[in-house]
Amino acid sequence: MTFKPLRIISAAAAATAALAIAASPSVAEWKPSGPINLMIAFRAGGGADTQARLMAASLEKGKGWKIIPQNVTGKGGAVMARKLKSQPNDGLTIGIAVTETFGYNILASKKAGYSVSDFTYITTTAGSQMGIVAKTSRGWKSIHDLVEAAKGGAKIKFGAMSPKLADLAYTVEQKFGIKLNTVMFKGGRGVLNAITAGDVDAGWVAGIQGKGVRSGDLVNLLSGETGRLKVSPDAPTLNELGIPYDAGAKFVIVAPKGIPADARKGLADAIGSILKDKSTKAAQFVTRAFGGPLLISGAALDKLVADGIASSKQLMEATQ
Amino acid sequence: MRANPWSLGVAAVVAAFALATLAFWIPADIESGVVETFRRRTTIGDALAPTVVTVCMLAVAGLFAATELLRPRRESAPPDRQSLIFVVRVAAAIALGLALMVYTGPLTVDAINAAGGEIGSYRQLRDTFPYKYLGYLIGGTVMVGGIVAVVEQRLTRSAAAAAVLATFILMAMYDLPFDDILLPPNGDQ
Amino acid sequence: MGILDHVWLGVVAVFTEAPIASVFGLPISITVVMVVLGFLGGIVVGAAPGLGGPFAMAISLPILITIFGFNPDALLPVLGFMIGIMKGATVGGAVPAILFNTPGTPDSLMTTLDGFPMTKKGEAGKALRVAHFSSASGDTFSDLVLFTCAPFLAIAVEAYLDFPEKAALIVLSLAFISAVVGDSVWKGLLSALFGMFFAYIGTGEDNHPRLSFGSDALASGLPLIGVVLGVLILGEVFKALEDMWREKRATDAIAAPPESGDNRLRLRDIRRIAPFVGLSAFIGTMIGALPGIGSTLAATLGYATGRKLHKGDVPFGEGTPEGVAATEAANSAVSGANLIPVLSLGIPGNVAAVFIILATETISGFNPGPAVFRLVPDQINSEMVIAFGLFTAMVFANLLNWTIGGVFMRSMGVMVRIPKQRLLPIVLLLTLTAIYVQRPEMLAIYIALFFGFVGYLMRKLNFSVLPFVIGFILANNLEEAVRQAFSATGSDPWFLLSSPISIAFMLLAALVVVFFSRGSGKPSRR
Repeated sequence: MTFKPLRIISAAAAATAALAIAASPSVAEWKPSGPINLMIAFRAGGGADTQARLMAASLEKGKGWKIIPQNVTGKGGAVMARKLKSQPNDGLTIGIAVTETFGYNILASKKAGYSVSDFTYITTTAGSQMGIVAKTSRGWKSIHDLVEAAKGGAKIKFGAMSPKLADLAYTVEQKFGIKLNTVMFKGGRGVLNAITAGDVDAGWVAGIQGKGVRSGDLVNLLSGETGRLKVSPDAPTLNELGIPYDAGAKFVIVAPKGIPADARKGLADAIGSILKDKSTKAAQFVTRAFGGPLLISGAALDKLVADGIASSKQLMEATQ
Repeated sequence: MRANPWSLGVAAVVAAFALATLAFWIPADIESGVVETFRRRTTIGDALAPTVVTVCMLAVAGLFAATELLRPRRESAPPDRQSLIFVVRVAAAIALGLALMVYTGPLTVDAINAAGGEIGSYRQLRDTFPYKYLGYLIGGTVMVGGIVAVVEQRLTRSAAAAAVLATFILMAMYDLPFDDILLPPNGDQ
Repeated sequence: MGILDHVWLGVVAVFTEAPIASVFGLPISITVVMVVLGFLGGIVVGAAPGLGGPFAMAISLPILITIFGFNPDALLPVLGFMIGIMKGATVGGAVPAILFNTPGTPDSLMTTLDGFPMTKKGEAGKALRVAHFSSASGDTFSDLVLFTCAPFLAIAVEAYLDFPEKAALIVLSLAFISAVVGDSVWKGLLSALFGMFFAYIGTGEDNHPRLSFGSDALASGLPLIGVVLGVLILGEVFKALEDMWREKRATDAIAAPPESGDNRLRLRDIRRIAPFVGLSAFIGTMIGALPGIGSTLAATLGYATGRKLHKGDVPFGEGTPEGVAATEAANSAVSGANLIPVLSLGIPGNVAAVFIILATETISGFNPGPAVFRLVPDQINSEMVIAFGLFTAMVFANLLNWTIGGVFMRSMGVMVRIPKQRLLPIVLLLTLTAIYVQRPEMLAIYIALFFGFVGYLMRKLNFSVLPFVIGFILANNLEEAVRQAFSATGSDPWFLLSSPISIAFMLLAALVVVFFSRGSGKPSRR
């Protein structure tokens, strides 16, 4: 949030802002007709929340827009999605969640209360660096060591933070014929804390393990992404183990369905430009926390969402 | 000494609430059971914690009633008719204040538009001076002034002035220094 | 990196990070400024009628978060301010109790017993000085214990507590707080159980938010800040307003009698009250260090113990400095030691601690729990640095208390003249606005008002609200710990009784309830 001790409220301030917008070169560019509400589907204070708030601040600074962030948490983004879908589709209310919210989570629920087609997908912002993590002192070098230990009769406690990740852990169990005691946590931070405290032996972490892996305290046993992890190029992917899924998640900005095409493009372009501009705080944070921006929008994003639903369906059938 | 009717009443209400919750609310409004077995894995369902808490409530309400019957104690100042009058009056002041807070801004904007003002919807103006302050100032003043009037049992000019001033200071305290904060009711628009 | 390195980094963080000005070439850090502001503000609020530390913390937390943001950089300034308020309000709370027989918080209730008679005898100045000296002494003792014991205690905790033990410990804490606070164990337990029940609405792991009547409004659970502020602050506002409405009495009727005689605090006075201060400081610290017991009990026990020991000419209750000293030392000694369970287990013991937990839940980078004091070889544990920064801020606030606290506190008698019936409605609007700013929807205000009514009813029916609030805060932690214990033990239904430690905790919880429910022989309050 921004703190401006000496803000003057008056028509003068509004006039200055209007002048600034009028003076910018691209007059034809879409701009919101009022302040934008940004619903954040993550707990205040976490990495995802920080990303969203910095993005809002950078948009205000770079574009002169007014963004009001608000945390709407719960049920892996479903609470936010249900609330967002009934908002006016004028581009003045948008939300940020992960792709899982508009994929696996809808299928896994008896009554989700929203569907993929309730939204217009604007752009992704960044992706996870999901891996199965263990403490180095445990002595495991890759997922195969964990499998050996389990086969040797060790009782393995395994941490996960979403039903999808628990399912994916189950595909690993099926593949190797082992048993894991899967313990659920709220967020990757919870899993990581439990790993360091020795409360669980290994677990899924979405990127914050990077620091510990670089310093040698933690080790990525497996990459949950479609490719190898940036910090641990030696860890095999699920695909390489013969498991045809991935655990990767992407942050995605969405709006209620049917927002005007120019608003969809305008929002995507604005967010893209501030994330590509390395001088903005948002871009710096995304680079530090998530390994850089990942911008997919338009038809490519629609396809990504559709593919996500298809592969989630397969995963659910396979783990039934 | 006879048992305190308020204590027994509380125990009865709690017990009734607990029974109704166990019999109807929990079964109807919780998806999973107390313990779920799904894919050879047994986990605790969402119903366990509320069920345990409600069963404990029932038990404690029973023990509470029993001790009150065996060893009655005096209640210091239980609610009476006076309390009810007070609650109704304060609630009325708060409700009036909140209603003005929520509707003043949008109604004013509608009126201006109807008079041919063409200033756009309140949703677009919810962060624009002076519209964004209308509801908070009027609603807040009425709420504070109304409660003071209820408690002092008369409306003095000094109380009204204090209410206006206090609402104005609160408004300035939150809205001036912080850029991306919305005062009530502007976040709902 | 050893513990001492972390201590040093914590001290450095408090005094040098983010300097905002410099005096004689020494940088003045934002944290230092915030501690000073919080401390002075705390004294003012503590001395104001009908307000207290919790009010001030509740109102300032959302404002502070708006100013400093959610990043870890915000932790020390925000927590420093809260600690300043906590300490200032404890000292300031003695002012209305002594001068006007109106305790601002239940903690200073016992202070009125001897403080107000002293005022009537013309010894108001002495009573205030005794209160300040005892409060600052108790505080110092408690901070020293916190500084030296917390790390070792936390490490012991970490070594012995796994999922089942954590769950059992939360059960024990809830049993303890329900049994000890308030006038009946059963009422305390009902209060805690209702707090827990409300916490289960809309939460859980199913996709359907449980107990929400299918309403989207309840789907993300009841907002923590709305429920806590509603029950604690709005409930108190409504109750106090009703009392005034009933009295309809002119507020400026009470005036303190003029001071007469020797009102200074002499060395012989200090020698006289020293044993009482020492004993009460010890009692307060011990009680503070146990998870989940409040400062009210400490004050009561300190006073009761002091009365048993006392052999002077003026008996307790008729205006003896020893009475003021015994209470004030005990209730002030709780605050420091109370952070031991807060930081190492995440279990709050009193209202002030509730707000510290609330702050750490909102700002990232610090999760109270055993991990705070874990030493990582060759690495800095940033949470431990924050913890020692917090301790440093406490010691610094304590120094402020010794140096400027007394003078400032004695100048606060004027605060009592603010008409309460005008102030409390403003506090109501301020609280509602603070809630809305954190969660910008009218629903949050309606929820807070509903829980304000709940808090009002509880007060009218003599139910203690503290177990309700702590039950609400700990309920989901308890459920999570239970789920995790169950999964981690491979679905063993007897997981709560799987180790000697958890069996001991569960037995103790049952014993506490049975013990306190028998005689109800605790000193009755009110």
